[in-house]
Amino acid sequence: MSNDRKPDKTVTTERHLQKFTGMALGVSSLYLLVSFLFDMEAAKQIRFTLAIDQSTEVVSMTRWVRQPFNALSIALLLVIGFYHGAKGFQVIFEDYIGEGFWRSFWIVTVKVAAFLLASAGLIALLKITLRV
Amino acid sequence: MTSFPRPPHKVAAPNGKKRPLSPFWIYKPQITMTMSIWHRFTGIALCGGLSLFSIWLVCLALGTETTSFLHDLLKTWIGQFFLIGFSWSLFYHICNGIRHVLWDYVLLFDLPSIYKTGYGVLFASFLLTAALWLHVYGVWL
Repeated sequence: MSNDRKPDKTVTTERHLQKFTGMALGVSSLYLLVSFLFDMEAAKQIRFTLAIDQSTEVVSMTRWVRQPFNALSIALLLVIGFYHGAKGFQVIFEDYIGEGFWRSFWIVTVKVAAFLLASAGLIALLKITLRV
Repeated sequence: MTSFPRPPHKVAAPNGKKRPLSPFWIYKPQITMTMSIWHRFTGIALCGGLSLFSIWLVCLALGTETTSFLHDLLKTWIGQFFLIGFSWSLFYHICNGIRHVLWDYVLLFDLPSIYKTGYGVLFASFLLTAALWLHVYGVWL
């Protein structure tokens, strides 16, 4: 093995993207989880033992989604999360499926599914937040 | 792009018997490889969790009845099993992800540290999951 190998730029970029999207996801998902728990606690909704009227439950959750900073975090979580997820699946397929048609097929299928699910979530988010 | 033929699963050993080519199947399970494969499993689970989150948003946009239907499904024991699983996956993937980022900067990259942080991540992920669900069920805090 020669020692004068230069680091592969593509691999490095991919690794940085994995790492930084991962960090952003860790922060945004934990923020959303904690803020959701606090909000539901305030509305006494999350405790499933207290059977509360379902429409009240949905109203308080909608209110949580509509808060600007929460809506922004949700949008980030959807975009970055599905990107990170599709990339992760790509790594798994590249490790376990031999090079050829089926590897490409599964990578593309997961990317299309991730794109569709992310768009669905974003459109729903827009509809919830822009509803008067 | 060159395509390589798949290697045989077993190769001839000097004693005349066949031995497995990959050491993976004969290795004693170790915390390092177990943690690594669970990072992938939890990652796949989290894709499911994120998809559920997306579907939940779509239900919220559609209205109260649709959302209540989804909530009813999630409140059954199998729904709760999935939610608890997703939350454990999230905690595990975040804790182990921190470990991987540290390794990129060659921090805590000696064997004793790798073992210690490995058990630490496992312990932390179960502790956080327990705390979350004890809170949700109203048992704690």
